[in-house]
Amino acid sequence: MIRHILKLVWNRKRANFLLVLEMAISFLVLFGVAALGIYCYDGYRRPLGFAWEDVWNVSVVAPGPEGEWGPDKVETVRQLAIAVRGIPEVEQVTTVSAAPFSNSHDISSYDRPNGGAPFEFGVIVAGDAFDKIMKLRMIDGRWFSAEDDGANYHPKVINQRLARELFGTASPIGKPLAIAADGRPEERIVGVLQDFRKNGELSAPANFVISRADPQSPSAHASENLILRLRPGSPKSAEARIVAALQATGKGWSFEIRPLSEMRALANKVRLAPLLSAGMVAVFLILMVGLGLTGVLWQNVTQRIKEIGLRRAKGATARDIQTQILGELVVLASAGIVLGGVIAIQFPLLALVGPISTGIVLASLAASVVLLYGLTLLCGAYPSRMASRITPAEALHYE
Amino acid sequence: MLQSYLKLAVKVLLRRKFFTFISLFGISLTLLVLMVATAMFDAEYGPCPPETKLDRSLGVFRARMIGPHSIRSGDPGYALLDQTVRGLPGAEEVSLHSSPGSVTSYQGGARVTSYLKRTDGAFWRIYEFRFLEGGPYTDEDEKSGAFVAVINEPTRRRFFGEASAVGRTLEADGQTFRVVGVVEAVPFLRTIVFSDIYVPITTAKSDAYRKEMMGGFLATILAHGRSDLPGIRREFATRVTRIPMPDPKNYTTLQTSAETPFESFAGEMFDLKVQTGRAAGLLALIIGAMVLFMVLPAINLVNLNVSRIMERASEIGVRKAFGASRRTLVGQFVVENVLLCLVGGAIGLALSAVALQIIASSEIIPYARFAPNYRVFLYGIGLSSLFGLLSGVYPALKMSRLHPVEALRGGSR
Repeated sequence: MIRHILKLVWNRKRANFLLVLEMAISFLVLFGVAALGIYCYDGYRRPLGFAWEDVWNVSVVAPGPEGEWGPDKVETVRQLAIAVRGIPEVEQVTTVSAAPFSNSHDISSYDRPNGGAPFEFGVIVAGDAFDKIMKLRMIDGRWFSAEDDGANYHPKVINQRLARELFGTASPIGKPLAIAADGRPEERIVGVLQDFRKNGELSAPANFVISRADPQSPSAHASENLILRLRPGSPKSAEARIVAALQATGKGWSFEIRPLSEMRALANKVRLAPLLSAGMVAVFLILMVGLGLTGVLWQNVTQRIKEIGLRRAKGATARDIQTQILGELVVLASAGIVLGGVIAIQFPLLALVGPISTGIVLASLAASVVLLYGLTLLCGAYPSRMASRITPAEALHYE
Repeated sequence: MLQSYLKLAVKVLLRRKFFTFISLFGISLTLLVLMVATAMFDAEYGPCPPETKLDRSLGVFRARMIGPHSIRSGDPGYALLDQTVRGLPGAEEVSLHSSPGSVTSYQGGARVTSYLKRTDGAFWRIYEFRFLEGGPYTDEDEKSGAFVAVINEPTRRRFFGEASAVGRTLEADGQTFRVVGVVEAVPFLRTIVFSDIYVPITTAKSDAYRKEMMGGFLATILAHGRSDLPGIRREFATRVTRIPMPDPKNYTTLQTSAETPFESFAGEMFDLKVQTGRAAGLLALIIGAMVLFMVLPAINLVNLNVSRIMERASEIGVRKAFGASRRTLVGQFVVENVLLCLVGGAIGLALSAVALQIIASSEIIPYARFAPNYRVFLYGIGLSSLFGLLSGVYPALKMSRLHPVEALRGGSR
């Protein structure tokens, strides 16, 4: 039976080749969409690691050339924080180098303390109250605080992903992230966070490090933002009062205040828009392929009336005919899947897609196989039923 | 000849409506996607008001300082532009303007975030903004540091409702400006001219920008004519080499060029090492991606057409028997297919106008304006014909190969 079908398909190889090619490309499209969708969903259901409700960010721009901050500016930032703190609705405030959901990214790359390939991570520099403002969840060690004042090391808090990558299951607490060199003190890991996905739910999982802003000599970079938590249910008018307090304290400075909820919505919109448009285009393509395939199969059936009629006359049932047509289709789809699969597997093999894990690739391969078979069987349903309704009498006096 | 081909094509299209529908559906959706993409590309790089003199202008949009250990790249600074673009031979006007930054204002307790751009007086002469009321500020305003502002129409609505804004004041980032003009909003995609509020450069909170080599500014150079552009590029390049580096210990080389917005975009896309032909390369890449995108729909259409050859067998047989050459037959079928694609293209064009309207009203891109224009229409016709050729040639060859005797008999396989 199967050999029969293979032979039938082979006999029409010229016409079938184009169909197989079409299915292979469709398979690639399905694979791309499935990989993108599964990848995004996988990221979305992972914990963000912080709470953004009731948190506001003020980006602070000092007058004068960037990069050179004297003690006067450092003092102004301290005064700004005190001024904001004086507003009754503000629960906590501290400085941070880049706000969550913002477009500002710092990526560092270090050599492994124990040798091996260098590792990359995102980094922000934050003040001591940052953990309470963002409601960070520590899973090991502690957050940095006044007890680190005067220590001979720089305290660092890292996320679980980086801890696993560097130390496996061993506890990273007290271990160096970078050993002392060139007159710089050791960078020591004091705590591990569940996660800190600065760029939001739709961003790729990444290594992250939070560095402590030195309260004695904060850098200009560390003071680019003030981040604050308002008491729940604070009135809208608090915002204008915060800005008024800032402008009264920092003459000639510029401030931009925004709730994290707004920044989150914007960041997600920016990330979602290309995904949605790619998804829509893919749905269009697949719909088109589906209709085209239906048309081609229908046409094939009308051309093979004689053959089908002969089979019916020799005793094949309507069911047999339907099985034959669908069987041929499955053979074609399988050929398409093999061809497309060979191409699809090149992307992760050649590491063209970056951070997509093997699990996601396998899941999306499986999903696209199911989808392609589903699509072809759906397209074949009507033409095969039509074929099974052909009666021998009608078919044999066709000419 | 062509007339009878077209007549035949219409008859064939009307004969099997289901197949015509499938073909048109695929063609129009494919072209819809491509046309939306080209319209968006056009909205960003094509000439549209206020950037009406793109053909004879260049800009300085990016600069890069390279040292042994670090690279700084981004917008050029005021000092760099001030030393290089003033008085270029062949230039009619030169404008320095800042990249827009967002500013916060409070309007009756509510926060309003707007973009604010600082420009000189020449900016208003190079770019032809449509003023709804009032007019631009002048070189004198810029010199004296007058706190005047030109705002766009949505900003007027946000601050003053439907009333006239000229002469009224507006607070932004702690500074107060008197509105002198209101312009029609520029789409966000036109990054060189886009802003909500335009004010003179000299109103900046400090004049530290005057010494900066990097950061915050752009320049536009308007030439007298297109023929002056190569000279301006060369002169700019020599002037750049003469600039003393402010921090020779950390940065030894300065890279920047007078270029078109598309060249600037291409420059960002490609690696540092690729120096020449970047814009052409990017264009080739974009066209390549478009053709690749057309492959699946084209194969789909080829399959449909091939499977329908037999429908036309008797016709082909008769024509062959009466001496039609293969070339004539191929020509006829390709014309038919191109016609089909043009019909699909027309539907796609209509659909894309609707789709662009939806994209514009979704406000993903602020103040997006995708007016269907003749350029997009021409792209559409070009794309449709290309698609028609792509999908028509193979089935046509196959059809023309039918043996007349077999074809007349109704054909075997």
